[in-house]
Amino acid sequence: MQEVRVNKTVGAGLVFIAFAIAFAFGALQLDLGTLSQLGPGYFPFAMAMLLLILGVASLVEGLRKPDVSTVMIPWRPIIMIVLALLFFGSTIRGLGLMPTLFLTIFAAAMADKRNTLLSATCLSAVMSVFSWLVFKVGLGAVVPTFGPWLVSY
Amino acid sequence: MELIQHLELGLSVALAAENILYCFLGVLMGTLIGVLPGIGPVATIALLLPITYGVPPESALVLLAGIYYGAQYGGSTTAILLSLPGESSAAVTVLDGYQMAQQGRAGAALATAALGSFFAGTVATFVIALASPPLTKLAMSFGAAEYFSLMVLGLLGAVSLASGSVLRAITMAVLGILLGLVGQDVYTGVTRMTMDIPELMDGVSFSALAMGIFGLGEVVRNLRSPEDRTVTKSSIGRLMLSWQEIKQIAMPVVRGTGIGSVLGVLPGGGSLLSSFVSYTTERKMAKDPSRFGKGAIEGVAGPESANNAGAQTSFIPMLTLGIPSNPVMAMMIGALIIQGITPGPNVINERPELFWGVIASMWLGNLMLVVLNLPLIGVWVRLLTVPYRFLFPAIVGFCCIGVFSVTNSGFGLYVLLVAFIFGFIVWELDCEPAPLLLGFLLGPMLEENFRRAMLLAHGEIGTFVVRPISAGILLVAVVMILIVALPNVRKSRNEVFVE
Repeated sequence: MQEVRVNKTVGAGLVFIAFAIAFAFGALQLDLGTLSQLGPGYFPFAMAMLLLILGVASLVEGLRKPDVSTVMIPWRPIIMIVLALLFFGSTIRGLGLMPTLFLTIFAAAMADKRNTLLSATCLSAVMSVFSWLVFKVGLGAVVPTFGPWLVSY
Repeated sequence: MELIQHLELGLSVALAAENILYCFLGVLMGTLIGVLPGIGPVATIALLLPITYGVPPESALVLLAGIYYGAQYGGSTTAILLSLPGESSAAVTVLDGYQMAQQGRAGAALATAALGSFFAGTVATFVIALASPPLTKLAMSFGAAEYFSLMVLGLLGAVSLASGSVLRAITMAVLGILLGLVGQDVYTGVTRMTMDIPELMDGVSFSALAMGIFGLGEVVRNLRSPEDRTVTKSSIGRLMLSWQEIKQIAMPVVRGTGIGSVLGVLPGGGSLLSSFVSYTTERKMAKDPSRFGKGAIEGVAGPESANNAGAQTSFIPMLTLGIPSNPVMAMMIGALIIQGITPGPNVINERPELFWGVIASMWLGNLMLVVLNLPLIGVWVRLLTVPYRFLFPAIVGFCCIGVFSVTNSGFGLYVLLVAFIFGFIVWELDCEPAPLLLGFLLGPMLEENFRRAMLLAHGEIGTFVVRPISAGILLVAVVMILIVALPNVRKSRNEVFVE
């Protein structure tokens, strides 16, 4: 856990402005068209400009009344969940449903330090069987239960 | 009579064996998440969107609707027994419901909530059935300009009633619109703003976005705050209401139902606002207002009826106009789109079995809730003690496999990842993500109608204010924003949300 002091209104303004610029840049690569025949870029560009104006408004509001508050960043859960997602995304095709899900849930369980290795293992086992039942047996997901990295067909 | 025929059709769909099952599963899961700590209905519905992929559209909506009102119900149970509103709409119920429980009258409070909700649900079902056909007819006569204005109104209305800064809520909605535009342009087939990532051709996945921001975002925020859930063992008391109590709750239930039915239809309305207004009304009408906050049974009966009625009538704009009035309705629209159905006034004509089936199932679901919950209170109470650390890994796992099964690619997981980080950042910056979701869904429709209206008006941007109906709708939207922006309204609004 890390404490960060930020002016939330300024922060929000900056996030919005960044998105506005990125979207405006993307929209300008498209044909804007004419008013009676709008091109694919017109509406996105108009919305990006609106976002820019609103973002600047937020920034100005924040700068006018400096209101700094503390934000706690729970690094452990964030990192563990990011790892879990990356792992799932990159191994699901290779390892298959069961092993991937087991390890993903295990990693996620480690996000909370009150979970022990034992409780995480039990949770992962129960949940991967449950999800296998729901998605594979129940809904007929195409992904194999054990993937090509583990078994050869 | 037409209404009877419609309801008959609806009942025949709702009473089909598999739909009864989905309805039952929905209310059961809804109650469960209403009772369990740290899982809200928006996150749950986001999690379950992939599951609805494989079932017929009416069953999907029946299931999701069941979760929605089941959660309302479970939320009031925890509000009464633990002073913990499981859902925000149950916040008012805490005031008198928890007091009643402290006095050993928990059973009476729970029974009041159940019966009030059931009455409200029954009435609201008829309200939907009566109000929808004329509204649909009206909407069918709308041109592109009117539709555009209507969506602006829906978006601004939903935004103005969100908690926190109105400016930031509007900005989030605009950002959502932009995100919704990513992908192929329907008119020209040009790929837009995809940063040359081929997987983004079809746009950003709604499931991944919703799950990342709401599902996973909620997990991290819950993990930050230490768990403190102590269940005080107190007797629930008898569930049966005395004749005296029934007389006491009768009028508040009727009034609450009326308030909820009306307010639920408003954009951004729904259950939260309804229950607040109902509570204030009951306190004003009471002979002895000082009883309120000390276990007045009217303070449970009114708001509980109102929030259920409001929850249900908030389906009206979603089903008839295709405009979501709150994040849960946005999820429903997302589910329809996944099913390949364009939400809007055509649904009622083209898929009457879907429309009326969902409505009939609401009534059925409410009946199930009463039957299911009153005898099972003990089980729910025990579930309250499940620690969050056992729940959240399952949520993460479900998000992963859910997104994968919808997008059928590892790429979906990276969208989920980005949405999760993004959601955490904006939430920490006090920007509520709900408007973003509404904007995301409405974005493509907004653009389509905007372009069509401009085409029809030969590029005359004034068309939106020259056409009387469109101008009227826009005027309402502007007035609404101005009212919310007024300093004193803003103040009392913040007080309401802080309470």
